[in-house]
Amino acid sequence: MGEQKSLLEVSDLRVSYGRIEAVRTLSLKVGAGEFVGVIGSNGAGKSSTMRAIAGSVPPSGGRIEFKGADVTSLPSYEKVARGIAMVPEGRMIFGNQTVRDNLLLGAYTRIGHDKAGVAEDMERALSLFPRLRERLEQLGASLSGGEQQMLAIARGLLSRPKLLVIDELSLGLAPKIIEQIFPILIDLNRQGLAVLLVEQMASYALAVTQRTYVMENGSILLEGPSQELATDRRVLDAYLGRRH
Amino acid sequence: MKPHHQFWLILILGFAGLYLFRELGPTNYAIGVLTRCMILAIVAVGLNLLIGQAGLVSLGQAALYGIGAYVAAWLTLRADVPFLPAVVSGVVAAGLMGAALAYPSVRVRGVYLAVITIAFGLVFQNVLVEWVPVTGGTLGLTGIPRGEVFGVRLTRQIYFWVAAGSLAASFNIVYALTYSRYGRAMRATAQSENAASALGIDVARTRMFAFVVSASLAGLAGALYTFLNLFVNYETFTFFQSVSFLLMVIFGGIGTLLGPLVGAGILTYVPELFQDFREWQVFFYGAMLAAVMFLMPRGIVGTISKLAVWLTARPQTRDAKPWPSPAALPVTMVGGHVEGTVVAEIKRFTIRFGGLTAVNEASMSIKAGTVHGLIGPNGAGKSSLLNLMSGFYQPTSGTMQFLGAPTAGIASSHLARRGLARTFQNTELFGDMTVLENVLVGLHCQYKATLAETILRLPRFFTEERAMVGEATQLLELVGLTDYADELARNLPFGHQRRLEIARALALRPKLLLLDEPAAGLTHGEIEQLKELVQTLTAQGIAVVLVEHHVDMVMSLSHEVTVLDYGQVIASGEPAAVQYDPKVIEAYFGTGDLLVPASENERPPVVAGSA
Repeated sequence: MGEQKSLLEVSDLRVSYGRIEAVRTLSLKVGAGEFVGVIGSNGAGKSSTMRAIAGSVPPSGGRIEFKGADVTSLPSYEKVARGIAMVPEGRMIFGNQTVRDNLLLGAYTRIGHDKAGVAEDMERALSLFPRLRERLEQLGASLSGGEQQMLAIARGLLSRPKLLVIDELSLGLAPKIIEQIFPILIDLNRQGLAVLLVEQMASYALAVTQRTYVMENGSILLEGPSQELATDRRVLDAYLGRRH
Repeated sequence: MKPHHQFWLILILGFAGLYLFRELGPTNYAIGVLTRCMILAIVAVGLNLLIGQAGLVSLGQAALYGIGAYVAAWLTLRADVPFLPAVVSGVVAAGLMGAALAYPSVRVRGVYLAVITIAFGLVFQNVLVEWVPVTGGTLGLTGIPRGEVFGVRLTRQIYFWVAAGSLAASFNIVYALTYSRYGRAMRATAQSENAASALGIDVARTRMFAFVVSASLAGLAGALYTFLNLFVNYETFTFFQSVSFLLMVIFGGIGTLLGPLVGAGILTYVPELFQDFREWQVFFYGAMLAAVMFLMPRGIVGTISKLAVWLTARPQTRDAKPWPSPAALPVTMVGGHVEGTVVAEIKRFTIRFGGLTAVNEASMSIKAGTVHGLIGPNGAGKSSLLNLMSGFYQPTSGTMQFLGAPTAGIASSHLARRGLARTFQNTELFGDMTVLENVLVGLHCQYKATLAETILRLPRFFTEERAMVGEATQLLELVGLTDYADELARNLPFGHQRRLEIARALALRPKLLLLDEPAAGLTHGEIEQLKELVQTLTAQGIAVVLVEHHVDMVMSLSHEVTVLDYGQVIASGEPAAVQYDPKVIEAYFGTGDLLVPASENERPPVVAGSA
């Protein structure tokens, strides 16, 4: 990635829940416009790291910088305002509100002073995901799993983020849907959006991202260009399950 | 500190304190106030079971307290019933009233029970005023004689110990229920109704039981109040008194053992202290309540014990053990049905939601010892079909036979007890219970010890509890989670939560296991382990229905695969045949141009180089 100035810089992050320490001394970077993946087994601390970056759990140590400013313990609504949007694990759409309202809630931080911008972004999100346009007045809960994931991404985009954090994109999605969503993310990334993607299906993550972190036991085990990691023996053994 | 240590410590220190108090030679007035405090504490202890365990709120405890008081008073005055039978009648009357109130309202969670109990409290007070021949109207019932037990007259001095003994007994009942399968079932229904009924727990009955216990204890307290005060009057049993009971529980710490006792103490003594402030009394009282809640949001005992845990906790990491370990399979699950016999037969299942037909004439036949794969696009009706099979939905038309008997109209909890277990697409664990407790809830229906044996802590309770903990531990070992046994389930990583859900479902000792996307969120290595686990289960004759998007897993495990699209079966048969069916490729697999998931038998990912 060259010596690009980092958009997101996480150093020595720690996250604990009660007696469990989920993340210990983790450091990672995401450059502006970069597409970065995080893979690793369950319990490695991937989701906890994403939640700390998005501000939904407070870190117990370390530092998170975004656009050069310390955002370590900012609440998530302020992080959204600064440009970090989260597509949470399990999608977490508002099931008893319409698709339109879900999208408008994504723009909550700026809807008061940027009506025109929101309308424009809404239009852009709906042309990315035409399925959502068909279902605009339907309740979120009535969408299928794939449509809900599209809605969660579109909702994230409506805050006009610089960094989109996605926790488990493929979770519970049929192969055909996954094939529809990934190209859209790649496109968004080409247009300049930085994406940090946690993905359990390592083959997907390695295929679409530029750089990948491999997490194990709460810290980074390996890091490198995705193409190289995809042929790394350790990664093949643990995450791709290919014999060689 | 372990709960039974807490229990005995509270009991011993409590009685020591009461003894000391009496040794100090208190005035009659002081003895009366403390007696009243202990009587109120009985109501609070009972209400704590309802709120802290079953997660239901009652705002009508004062009326149930009043029923106990008036029934005891009326029987004594008008029918010369002696003390003990009068008190027992008060308890029974309040318990029955509780059952009648709970029956229509506990099916639905939320505010319903609270609203019904408020309404009941208001009606009750009005009846007390208007039904003059029985209740004595605004004057109430006066001239109640002091009680007598076995020839001993219950003077104020002696009655103090009667109240103390009754409080200790009530405290014991609530403690014994809380730390047994009954309490676990209550907590389970409070945290996930779906999961509780999928484990064979009758949600409505469990809630009703909790309410009847708390109502009976309120009745006991009411009857005891009658023989302390020697007259009863409608002014005691107001809505404000109900709120005050609720505050005792919240203030002391919901769900804690000591909390309601502390709460009752504070709400009895603080108003006494503020009496000098006259018209400002209520103001100071309210201000103090607000201040304490602000500083101690979990109540006094709750906040302090939370703080103690926080101070003594040190971060540690836990590791999941390799799994599955088939050697850990509990003996209760070894053997079972002969492979090939039909466990479940579904004929033309259909369900419509409004205009949408989620499942349309789907038929399947599921055999013992086999895996039946169920795949299809998102929204094809796979989860709806699982909900139909497990009794969470009733079909619009169509039938199912499970182990030779029709399932029409049978509740999910009953199907679970017959041996139909399931997991949920978005895991439904009891998040605020430990990992071990989650599995113990799954074993709920295997318990044989009676309610009396549980409350009295007779030997069978202990031997059975030990055996169940043993079986639950084995199940945790099977899925490699023994290290996490005493961790709260919500603190587990997502993939481990899936494993725990399977272990919990296996606690039902099922004949048929429905797995709803068990591999979602698992890494490749973990999926391999999950496959091994499923094979271990089918080897014991368990039939497995597997809904999953990891196609390789479905194809390599399944003996038969059914493909759904728009609620209809579009293909069914052996995996190989289904996989290359053009209709299935069109509806489900997509072109495969962009990416192909990692697998042994398919093309490698685009960038990964070939194997």
